[in-house]
Amino acid sequence: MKQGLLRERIYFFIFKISAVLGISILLVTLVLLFNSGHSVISWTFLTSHWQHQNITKGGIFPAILGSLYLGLGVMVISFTLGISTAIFFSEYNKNNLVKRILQLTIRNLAGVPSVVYGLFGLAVFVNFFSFGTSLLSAMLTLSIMTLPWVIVATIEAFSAVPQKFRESSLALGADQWQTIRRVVFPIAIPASITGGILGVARAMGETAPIIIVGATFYLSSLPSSIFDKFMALPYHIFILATQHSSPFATSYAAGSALVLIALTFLLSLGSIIIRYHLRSKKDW
Amino acid sequence: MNNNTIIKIQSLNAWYNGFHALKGVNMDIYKNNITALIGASGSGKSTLLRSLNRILDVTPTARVQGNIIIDQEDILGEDIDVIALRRKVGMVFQNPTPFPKSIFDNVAYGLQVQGVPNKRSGGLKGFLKRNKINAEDVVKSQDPLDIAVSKSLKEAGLWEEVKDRLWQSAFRLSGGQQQRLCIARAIAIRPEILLLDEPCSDLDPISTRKIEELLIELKKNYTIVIVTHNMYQAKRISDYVGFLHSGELIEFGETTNIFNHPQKTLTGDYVKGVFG
Repeated sequence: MKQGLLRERIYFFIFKISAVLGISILLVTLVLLFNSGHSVISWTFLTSHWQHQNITKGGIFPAILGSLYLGLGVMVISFTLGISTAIFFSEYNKNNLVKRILQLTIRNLAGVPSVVYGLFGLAVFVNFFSFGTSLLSAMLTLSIMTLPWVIVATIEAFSAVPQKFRESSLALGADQWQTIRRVVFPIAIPASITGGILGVARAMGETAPIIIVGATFYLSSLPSSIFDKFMALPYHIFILATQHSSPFATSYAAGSALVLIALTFLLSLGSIIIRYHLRSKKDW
Repeated sequence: MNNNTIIKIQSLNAWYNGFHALKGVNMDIYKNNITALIGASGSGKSTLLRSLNRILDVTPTARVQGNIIIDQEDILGEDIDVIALRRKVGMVFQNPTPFPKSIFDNVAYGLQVQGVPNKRSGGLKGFLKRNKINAEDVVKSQDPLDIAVSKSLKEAGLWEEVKDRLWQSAFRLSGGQQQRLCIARAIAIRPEILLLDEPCSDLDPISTRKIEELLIELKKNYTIVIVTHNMYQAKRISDYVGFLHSGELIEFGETTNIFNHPQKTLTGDYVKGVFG
């Protein structure tokens, strides 16, 4: 056998092993979770109120709802702010140095530990703006955390739009805003949504910041306004897994984790469908 | 040939980051004629063309000096309405650049941005599922946008080929059809002048010929300035030729004179194909 061919085979083998390993770790996690959690999942589990004394009687509906509210709020706030910021950077701001420095800063923000964002939220939203420990504070805190992801994804999506589209639109007598809104935006938005959803999915799984700014383990009623405290799945899982005395707590934690994964997956699925639809209409 | 000057270019200079791309160009463009700009790559012919509708402004490093008079107005002036200028001076680019929209919406674009409502996009329903557009409907319709779209597509010689799929994506068309669509899109806003930047360089000979025939037809209503690499194309379609070399306008005159009796050796060498 030729030496080059052998070397290629060895490398290929290493890559293959890495791929198989990476995917199997994910699969094993899912299977273990499913094994210990699937028995508790029932209609009651998904739709009833939490019963603190006897957890088998109740469900995790308040936590699901809390996480959903949180996800939707984060999406609305971070997408609006993030996409506007990105449009300013990529379309209007011609100063490349400022743009690069800001982009670098934003990228670094994406690496800041989430608990730091939690402290920021506590200082700014809870105390300074007096929103209290509430759903609103949590939404804002997680939005700030998601913002860098949305901005970076959107700037990249916008710079991937070929210059010829902008020039063609301007040459037809469109102004810059019309060019962005009617030509650049529709081309760039699918990629931007994808990147943003990843950030939102990450935010939905965060525990540390929301404990600091508004999530609690047990509430007797659902939040009725954005200034109320709320329950959320990640925190719920954390408490069940580590602090609860009930013998069923572990399997309830696994069941809740399955629900959280399903929620995140649904969110991604939603973005995939939107993206697919937008693309199919474009035929490219 | 009438000699009605529509664009007067006076001592035009252009720089990219200090690179002197156009050196004191003086030139007249005559109404309802085809003027071809020829020259080797980097000779400045595209820069000259792109300064005529100020699309050069989009290039951040570019700087222009001099006068370009269109309708008694210096379009390089500070307070010029660039958008109005671009509605008067349309442009077609080198590669076909249809938008990722339907054929109909592509042609309608220039009018839509002027505020003419597009009743065929169909609002939210149109967002979810593209509405089919009936060609007979469009022809019979009194809607100003419908009239403009069908008229422009007919003028661009594309109507018969696309009338049964107006709602389909423009990307499904062939390269030559896409380029004619871009011409239809440009003339839909009724410019006076049409600039074309090597419109056939990506096209096969048959598509090229169709576009050339179209341009000869269009010069009845429009003044055309075309940049071309292809000397034979300049010879076939243009009335006037400007030959540029290293940013200078070496020679300008009637096409037959430039090709048959060039005054400068450089021009002669270029049209004979000694370099290029």
